Amino acid sequence: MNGFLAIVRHFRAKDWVCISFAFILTVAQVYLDLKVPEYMASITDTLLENGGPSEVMNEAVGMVSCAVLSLIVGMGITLVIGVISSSYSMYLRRMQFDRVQSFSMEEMGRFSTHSLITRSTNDIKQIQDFIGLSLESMMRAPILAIWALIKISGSNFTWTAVTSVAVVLMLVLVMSVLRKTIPGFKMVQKLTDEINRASSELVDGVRVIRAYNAEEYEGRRFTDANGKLVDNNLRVHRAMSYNVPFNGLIRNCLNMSIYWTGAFIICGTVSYEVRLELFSDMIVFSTYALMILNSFRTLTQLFNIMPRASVAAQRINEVMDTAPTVVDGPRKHSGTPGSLVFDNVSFRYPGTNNDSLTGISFSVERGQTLSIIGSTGSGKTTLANLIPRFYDPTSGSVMLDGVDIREYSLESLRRNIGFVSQTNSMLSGTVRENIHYGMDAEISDDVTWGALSIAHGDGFVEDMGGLDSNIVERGRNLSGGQKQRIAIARAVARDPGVFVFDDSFSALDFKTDSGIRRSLRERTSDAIVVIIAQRIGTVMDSDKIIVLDGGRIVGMGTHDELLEDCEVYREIADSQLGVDC
Amino acid sequence: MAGRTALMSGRMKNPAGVTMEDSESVVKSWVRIIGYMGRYKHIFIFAVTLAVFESLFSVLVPNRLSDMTDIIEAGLTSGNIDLYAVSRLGILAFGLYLASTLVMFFRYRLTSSIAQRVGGNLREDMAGKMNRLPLGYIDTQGKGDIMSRFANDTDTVSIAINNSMGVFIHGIAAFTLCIIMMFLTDVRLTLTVLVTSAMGIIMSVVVIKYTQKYYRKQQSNIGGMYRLVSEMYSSKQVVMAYCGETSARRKFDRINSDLRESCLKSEITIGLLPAAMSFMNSMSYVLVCIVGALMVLNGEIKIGVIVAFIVYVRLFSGPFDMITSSIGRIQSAAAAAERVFGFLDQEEIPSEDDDVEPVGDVRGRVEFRDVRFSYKPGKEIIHGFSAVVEPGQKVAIVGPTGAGKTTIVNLLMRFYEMDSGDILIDGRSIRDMTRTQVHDLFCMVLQDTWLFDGTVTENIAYCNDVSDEDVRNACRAIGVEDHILNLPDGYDTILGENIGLSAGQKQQITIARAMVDRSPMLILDEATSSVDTRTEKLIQDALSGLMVGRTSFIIAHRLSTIRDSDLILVMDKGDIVEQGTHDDLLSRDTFYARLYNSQFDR
Repeated sequence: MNGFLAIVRHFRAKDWVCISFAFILTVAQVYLDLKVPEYMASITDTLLENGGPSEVMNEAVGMVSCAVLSLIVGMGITLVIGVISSSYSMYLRRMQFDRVQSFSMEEMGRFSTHSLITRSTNDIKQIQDFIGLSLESMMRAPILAIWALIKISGSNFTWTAVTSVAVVLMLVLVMSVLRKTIPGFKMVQKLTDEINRASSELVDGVRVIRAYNAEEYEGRRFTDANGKLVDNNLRVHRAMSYNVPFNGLIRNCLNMSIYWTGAFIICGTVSYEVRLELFSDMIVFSTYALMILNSFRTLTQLFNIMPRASVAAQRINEVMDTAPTVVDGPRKHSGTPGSLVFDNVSFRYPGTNNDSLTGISFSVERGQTLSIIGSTGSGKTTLANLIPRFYDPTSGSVMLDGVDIREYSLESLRRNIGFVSQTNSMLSGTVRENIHYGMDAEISDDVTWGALSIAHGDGFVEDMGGLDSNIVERGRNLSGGQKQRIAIARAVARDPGVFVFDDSFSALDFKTDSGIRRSLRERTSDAIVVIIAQRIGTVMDSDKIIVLDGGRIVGMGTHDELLEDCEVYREIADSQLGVDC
Repeated sequence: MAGRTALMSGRMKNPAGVTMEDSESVVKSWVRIIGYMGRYKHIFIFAVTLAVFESLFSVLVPNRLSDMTDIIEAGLTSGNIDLYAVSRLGILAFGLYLASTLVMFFRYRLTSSIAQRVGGNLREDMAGKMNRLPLGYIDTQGKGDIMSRFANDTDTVSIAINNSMGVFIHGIAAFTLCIIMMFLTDVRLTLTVLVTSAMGIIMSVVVIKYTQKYYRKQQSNIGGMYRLVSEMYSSKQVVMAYCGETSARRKFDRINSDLRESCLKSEITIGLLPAAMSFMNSMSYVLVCIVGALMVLNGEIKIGVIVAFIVYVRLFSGPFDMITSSIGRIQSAAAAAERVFGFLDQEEIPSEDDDVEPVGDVRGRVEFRDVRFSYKPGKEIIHGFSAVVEPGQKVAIVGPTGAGKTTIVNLLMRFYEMDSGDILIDGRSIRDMTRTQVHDLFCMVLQDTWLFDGTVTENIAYCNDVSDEDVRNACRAIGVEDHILNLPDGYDTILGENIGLSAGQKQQITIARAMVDRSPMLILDEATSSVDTRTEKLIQDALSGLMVGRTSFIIAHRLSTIRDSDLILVMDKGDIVEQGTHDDLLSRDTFYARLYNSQFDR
């Protein structure tokens, strides 16, 4: 029951209206379907009482009209159910997508991308299939069973008893099979996550796999994940294979028992009229009894689909119930930002025991460039990630124009930041789409080319065939330096008040690096610029340089000041410039 | 390096747009699925045999019921029913039911195990196929679409086999036997029943013909959804940083409503067919009653015949119902199978003769001879690259981005095949070796760090047989051990997405992977770009111990990385413009010198 509630939890009013409508139609159809055996009974009576063909025809006309009406009503039900299942699943997909969009990196990490992909696709399909294929029988089967039971109850005690025994047997069968299959069905969605993970690794790692001749090794890893899924499915279906055949056995035996006991009952009856009546009752009763058991059989099939669907629904609800940790603030940031301040900021990644950043304080004004340098794992990227609020600080605050950035709406904050990340940020689409990405106003090609030329990317984009040339997923048709230059152009095109370059020049040769920085300097003269870099050459002309080590600031000042009094900075400089400096 | 990955779509078959007559394509896909079950031939044949027996039983039984009715009816007027005969028939029928149930039970087990195994094998074959596909295909296809084929399409196929194959065989056998039995019982009533079922069959064929496109659309929309969602979720940072939520939502809404439409259409056809079929069944029932009644009135048949026929009609309608209600599954499985087989049918990289001379000890002389290459025909990227690298030399390849540095490495590793020219290792062309042999000669660190969902140790040892001690030594040597020990489980930490490794630390781990590999030559493609220069120094010291006597190729922008190379190849626009040592090149005051001096530009 909880499983079912999980599935319908997000039903909207109109879904309930549709369901109610489908319910009414189902009741009507059951009425018509139950009417048919009655005609059948009177046809049998007519035949036995030597009625004429015209009397048979009368009954037959009634029967055919019932069948035709039932067909029309049935089509209506199919249509309504189809509309519910497809529009509800569309709604679920959209709600879940919106929720994931509102997640910060923390929630993304908690669920893992593969699992979120399964939840947004395969899990929803399970629900859709459940509604599309089973909702109708879920309504129909109990109505039919109860109605038919009412119709035949009291007509004959023995037959009713036989039918009850059959129903009980069937329930026992279904329950014992379910107990075996539910845990397995619960696993299926989880194991599907694993298949998604394994196949996505095969795509992402294809070059490494080939370079290391690791095809066999990867094959084994894949077989492992795949084998688990297959084994699980085999176990589930082995248990399920009891269902249909033994159901059939119970049904057939019931049918036969009614005739068998019928023979004895009829035999023991004295009056011919009563015998005749009993005979036609018997045929009608067996028809209804079969209908009852058939509806139980459909319910059994339902029990096979429902566990998987309800697990899927619970997984979706998990996503829906996760509140994003980074939420909109009430204020809107407008105008060009004047200052960016870190005030005693510390940060710890969820699930870890150590602070990644400790007591970071600094400020940078409009028109200034702040650079951050430090060894691998010293917390540079973590610091950068706090500015557009990919994460929020564990303590302390980041302030823009004197206001904690948590006070601003995410959009007004982020629209003011040109963030160029260290990791690959290309999306599939054209060069133009990548540069215009997320902008609300159209910009002209001139502006786009302008941004590209500041990023020294106009040359190769021209060679590629212009702004409409295609970039494949993850930018795999571009070199590292080309990807970085398009990412820089993307930031420049937005003309933001704050630039954050997270090691965005690492794949560029020196000449391009210094060239881009020179042209950027003109463009960013009225902005706040934060540059994270490894190369002394990239940071040496900044207004302020911060040296990070182990998540703490160990030096702050200009290049010359730091050479003077920061040991770590001097070591970094020595390792790069050596005798040349 | 522009277009380092070939956009080879021109050379590929389009997997989604297979053009075939719709109903024909369903049959073709299923013929292939059944062919795929070939390795379970014996089980399959056994299952088919069981299904035939099963239907035989289920057809024999109604006859007993009809006999029973006749006996009861015979005694109806006199009130003297032959109860002994009734019981005998009842026991016989029970025996038949039991036998048919057991047969059916085993048939179910067999078909469902075939179904699950076929799904597993399809995935297995697709995983194997990944190793033989050209990189260009994988890069352009989109990860989500491939993932959807792995997870969703195979699932759809095995569900259909599971739910429909047994039913289908049973249905057809039961159908045939039913008709035979009915003919034996009464010819005219049989013909009556057949009229309606013929109409049913015609309807099904028509429906399949006109609806297959919706199923195909549905599977490809699911693939599109996978693709979009996987790209948006893995690029979450960009989406957030650039407020791409609105545009992502726009794209999402488009695919979402396409998906809804194709689902609605296919679902309605799934639902309508069974509704129509059950109408057909009611019609058979009515017709049997009317025609039968007339015949009874004429005294041509007994009422028992009608009862038997009513059971036949139901019996017959059972599998018929099941067949029609599984038609939707059969159709979507056909559409899914098209996508799976479309993937398996992709053109592969040319297969190789395994029977080549083994590569013995390699000294490491590498010669590039007038190598030419283009990713896209007509757009040459490398124009006659020639260079000689002596054994044990440390070679740096430098040049502006897009000069073709990574492309040279791709060719050396035979990720791509040269258009013309040759690369020789110790005088032997790499074309005369298998790719595996070539890969074995190099340990390589690529620009893109790739770590998989396994422990740190597994990620470093990778497919090589390496002791834990070696792994630790490598990590210690390159200065990443402290970070690893800080992870929750040290070397046994599973490297998932939420492990806070910096880009530089990831690079260090991939370098450690190359260090324990112990191949005779080394390629580092921007391997230390995210590592700070002091750590890089550590890595270099560690590597230089490793590189003694090994030819190594290093692509880097950092001067500190390349300064002490034995040979620097300066590339620009796919050509070598200069070569020599650092001091050599600097003194010439040309391209390299300008590149070098630019780092001091303020």
